[in-house]
Amino acid sequence: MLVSTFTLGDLYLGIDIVLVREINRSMECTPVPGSQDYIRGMLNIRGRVITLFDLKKRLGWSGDDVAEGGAVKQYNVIMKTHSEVLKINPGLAESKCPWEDPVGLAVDQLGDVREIVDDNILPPPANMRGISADFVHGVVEFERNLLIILDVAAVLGFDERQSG
Amino acid sequence: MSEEDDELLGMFVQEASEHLETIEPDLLTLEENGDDTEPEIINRLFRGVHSIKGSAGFFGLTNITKLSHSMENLLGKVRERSMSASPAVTDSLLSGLDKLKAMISDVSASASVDASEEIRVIQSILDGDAGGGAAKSAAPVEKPAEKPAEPVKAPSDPGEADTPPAEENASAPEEEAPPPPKAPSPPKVAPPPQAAVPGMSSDAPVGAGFDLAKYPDVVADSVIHGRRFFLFHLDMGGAGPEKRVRFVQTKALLSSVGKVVDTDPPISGEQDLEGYTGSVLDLLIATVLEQDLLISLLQADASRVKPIAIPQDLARQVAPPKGTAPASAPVAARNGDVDVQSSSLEEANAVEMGFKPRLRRPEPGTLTTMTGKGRDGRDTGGTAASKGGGGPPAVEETLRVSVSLLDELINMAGELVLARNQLTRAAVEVQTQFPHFGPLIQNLDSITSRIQEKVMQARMQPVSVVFNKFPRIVRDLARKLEKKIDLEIRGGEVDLDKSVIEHLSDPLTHMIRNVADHAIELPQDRVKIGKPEAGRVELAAYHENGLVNISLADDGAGIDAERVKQKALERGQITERQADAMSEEDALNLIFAPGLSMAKKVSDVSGRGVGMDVVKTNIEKLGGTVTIQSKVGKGTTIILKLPLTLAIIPAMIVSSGNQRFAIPEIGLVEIVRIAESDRANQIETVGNAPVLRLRNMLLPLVDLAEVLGVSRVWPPGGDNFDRRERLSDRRAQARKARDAARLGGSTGLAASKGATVGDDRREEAADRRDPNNLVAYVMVLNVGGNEFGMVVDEVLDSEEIVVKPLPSYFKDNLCFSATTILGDGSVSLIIDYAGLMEQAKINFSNVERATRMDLDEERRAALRERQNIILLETGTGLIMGIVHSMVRRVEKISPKLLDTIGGLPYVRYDGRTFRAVYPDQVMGLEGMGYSGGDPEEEGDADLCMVVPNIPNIQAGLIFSRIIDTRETHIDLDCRAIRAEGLFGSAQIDDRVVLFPDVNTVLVLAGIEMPHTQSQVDRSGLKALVVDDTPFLRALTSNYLQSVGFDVDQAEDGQAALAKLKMGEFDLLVTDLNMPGMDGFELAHEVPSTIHADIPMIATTSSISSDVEQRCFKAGFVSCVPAIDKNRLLKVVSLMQARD
Repeated sequence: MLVSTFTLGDLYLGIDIVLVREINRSMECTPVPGSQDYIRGMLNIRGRVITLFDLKKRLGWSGDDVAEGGAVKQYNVIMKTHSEVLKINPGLAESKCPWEDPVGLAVDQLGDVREIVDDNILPPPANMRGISADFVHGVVEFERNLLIILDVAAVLGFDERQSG
Repeated sequence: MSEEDDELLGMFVQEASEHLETIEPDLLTLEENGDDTEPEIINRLFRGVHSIKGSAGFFGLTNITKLSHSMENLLGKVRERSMSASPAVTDSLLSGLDKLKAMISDVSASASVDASEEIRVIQSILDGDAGGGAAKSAAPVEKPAEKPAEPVKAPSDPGEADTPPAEENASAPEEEAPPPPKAPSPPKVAPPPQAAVPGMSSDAPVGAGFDLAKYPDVVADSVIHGRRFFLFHLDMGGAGPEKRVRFVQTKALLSSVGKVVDTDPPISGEQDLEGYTGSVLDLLIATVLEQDLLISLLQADASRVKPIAIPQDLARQVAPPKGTAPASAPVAARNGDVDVQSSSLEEANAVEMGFKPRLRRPEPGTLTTMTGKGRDGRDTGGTAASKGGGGPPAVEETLRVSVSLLDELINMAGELVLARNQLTRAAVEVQTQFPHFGPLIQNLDSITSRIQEKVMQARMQPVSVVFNKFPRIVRDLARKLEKKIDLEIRGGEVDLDKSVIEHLSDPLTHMIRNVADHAIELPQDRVKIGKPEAGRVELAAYHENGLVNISLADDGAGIDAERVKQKALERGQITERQADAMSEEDALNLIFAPGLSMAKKVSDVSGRGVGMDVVKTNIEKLGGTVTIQSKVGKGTTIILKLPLTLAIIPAMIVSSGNQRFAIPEIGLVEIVRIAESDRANQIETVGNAPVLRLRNMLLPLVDLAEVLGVSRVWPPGGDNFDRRERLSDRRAQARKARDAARLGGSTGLAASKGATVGDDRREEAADRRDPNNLVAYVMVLNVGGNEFGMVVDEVLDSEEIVVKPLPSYFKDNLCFSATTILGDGSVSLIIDYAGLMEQAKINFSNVERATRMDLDEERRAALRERQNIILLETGTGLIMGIVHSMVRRVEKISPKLLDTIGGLPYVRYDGRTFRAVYPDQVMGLEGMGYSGGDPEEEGDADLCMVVPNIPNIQAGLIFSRIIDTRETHIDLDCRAIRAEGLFGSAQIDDRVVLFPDVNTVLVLAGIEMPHTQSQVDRSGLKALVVDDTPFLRALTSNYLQSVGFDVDQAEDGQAALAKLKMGEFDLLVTDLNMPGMDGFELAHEVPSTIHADIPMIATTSSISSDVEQRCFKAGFVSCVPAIDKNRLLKVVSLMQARD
């Protein structure tokens, strides 16, 4: 599968490109008072209201780590919705894309688009740092880097509902 | 079932529902008009049921097919006039319709629905008619001919072979049917083995057998030109020449729309006809007309015209395989699998084409335009289409589009508007270099606006969608309740947004049920009290003030406000004290309280105490309001005021803690501006909750930033400099938006709110830069009758916002109802008042009532010295102040509403006519002011009408605008400016404000006051007026002077006592709350003076039964509100009577 990659601090992360709608430079977003702290707020992208997740906070990084990243210009990875994926790949939509609302993830730097072979995807090693195994779909070794494929549904909080 | 089939089934359900929607009103018409019903209506009914039958057959929905089939048969009889449309017939059809509805609403379960009862009833009517109908009717076509009427179609319809014997009037017996020659026939050619229909008579017409295959050229030509073939039985009775004339006439009639292809028996020349012996001559006609139109053209009985199908393969031979013709063959074949019987090509076509065309065309003369009548397959097919020529008059075509597509369009139109706005801003610079750029932008601007408008219109539906179901409901209710009810529906064409329409049905149904059950009396009772036997119910929709009003009026029993009160008391919903103080209007509104049913007994129609409260909640959810007016014995009118759409709402954009929020204007009562210097005076703490003293009530306050947990920037001056700049830029836009809002959507009140705030801001700009005089705004919001104040930092704009759903991640946040995108493209949250209240844990039942009562006297007195006044500007630039409690309401009116009748100005407003009074002219002060602006320009600007708080008066004071509302001291100067009708003047904010005496002004304008006080003449008597507020003192004195009193004044109890000891007085009118010695203490002291028996009247600004009690104990004759002239004088006149 093709994977859109990006970095978050030291982590090298990837998302199945079919799930990605577009990537923008980060822009001003409207905070929602009283929401979870890992939700940065809402964006308007061409008339669609996008809920933006702060991926670092979502992964549980401490305040220092977050502050460090906050200063740098970030990018927003805007995800497709369930109904959008349904039109392209119904199977994938059912298994990996349960969210109906347009959402985005705030990340640090963009990487390349990588082609990876499904067989090369390994289960997450136990000693992974900076990310809980709950959010990891699998890892692939790439040029001595570990590419972590994100489980976006879990990041967006759909994990229990889906598997349960 | 495959996905495709699912989709088709969905279409079927949708279309069938649309048919059902039109069938119902048509059936009701049929019931009402009986045999006089227009044939077009009966035809439509027939077609509707028929299409359902055909489509259901296609899906193998046997139950639906069977039921619709029997209904169709019955309707067929009615259509042919062989059976009269008796109530029994329509009843059976209506009950069949209900069953059909039930089955179609849940298609998958339709197989398990038992419709046998309905079918049996219909069948029994049909059976019962079989004999009678035959005896009565000599219509030739009813009876099968010796030669079958339409053997030609047999080959085209394999389904025919399976025909069940149920359908009686469809086709002919077989004996004489000529085998269709060389037709490429299916294995079984035999027409249905059908028993001869009873009543076949000897003079049955000579049938005709035309085989289209004999006329390949004609058929080919017809297919290309979209002609159809019909068999017409031309009546050949009468003398020889007559026959010929008739034939020639028929030919002539047809010449423009088709032709006579052949006759049976063949005739060689017209002369032959004179000797023709048969009673009927069969003509084969090729025409572009549809059957109905052909019938009306020939002015023939419907039964004399039969369509003839063009055999599929024949059509294929002559026409290129395109369009629907080839596709229809397999469909027809499938059709044959189920027990559907097509009795004509019309039917076959309807079935074949049912799922093809998405283009629909509403039929002419139907009630609705948007809901459409479902497809009319014949119009759109390739082979048989007959769009041109003699087709029905041109009707607008409609296209079915999914709502989600529309929503997307709306979204993008909104985006386009934003892009346009950005471009317009950028254009200012570009324009200096490219002068042609400006017009281009303007063009884009106007196109964009139009696109947005049109896209919004696309979501609109006429209310008739909802209204149309009520005739049936009313009919059923009337029967069940044994009442007679005429329902009149008006304004069905008024458009509302789909989302509003969808939620309107339930509340309206509730209301109609209530009316039928409670309001309308039994016919005998109505006659007894001189009303017509049938109750009149009028359901109307109309536009008003940018809202859609839906009114439901009846001439029934009306609602007895006293009884409602009594009920509410019994149920403990109100206290006795509340009941006493309650106005009739408030009492009527109690019927919207949960659990209150006015029905004397519970019926199965209504009366369980659920109903009107649900109506109210539902309507309020839609952002609407419900008002009720009722007169016992005369009837009740309930008016729903609804926004045109939920997708776009007027909202105030406010900022709190540096973040912007949208506050829907529905529910926003007013905006109060509080300068920091006044904060201490106006905001108090009761318990530990901050409350705002507003007029004479305490408003619980909620700080928006605090509730939301937004970091507060207070005072909000810190970053104000940039914001100021942005604001001033936006101000022009805001003004524009306000104008748009005024035209487009918000109520007059809301617009005036906007204006007030805007003016404030402009005036106070200087104030706010002064750090000691920072300003906060309190948005006074009304949630279900309770008011609370929401504190925000700034009020930025009034905007029409597009409502977008809240992302699911925030659904558990009570404070927000939705999101929107503001003019600059940023996302903003829409505040949900009710949720905010809950979040802030305001409990009204405790807070509000308690705080109102618990204020100690001292504080009340201190606060009461301030008067709430409305500052207004007259057309001539004078500024006038009117005490708030003198004003019932202020309306924004368009100058267009001003009319001159008999030389006097009037305003038409809210369906009533108000006498317009220009206070400056009446008092002769118009020369004093300067003209505020260009008079021509003013001609277009909206005016303000102040309706005074005087009962039963239909007059309003006209001002050009509201400047402000103020709570302030009034230091009234009664000397500087004098005029009749003027109390005096005062300086407020360095401007001279005139205080007119509204009562006198109205009298000067020649308006008769409802309670004429002229009989009270107390000249020669002396009164002492005691009040610490100069303004009120002057006011009260003025009132007393108007009836002849010689008035002396005192500013507090001590001074009053001194005066009482010195001189003689006949009346003492004193304020209760005064510094030093208050009114009660004064009353206590009075007996010790020489005026021990002097009548005393207390005036107070906050009257309550507690206060009244205390007054009586203290020896006062009465206690009246401070500015209530009528009540004061009434008390005075009563005293005279006692003397």
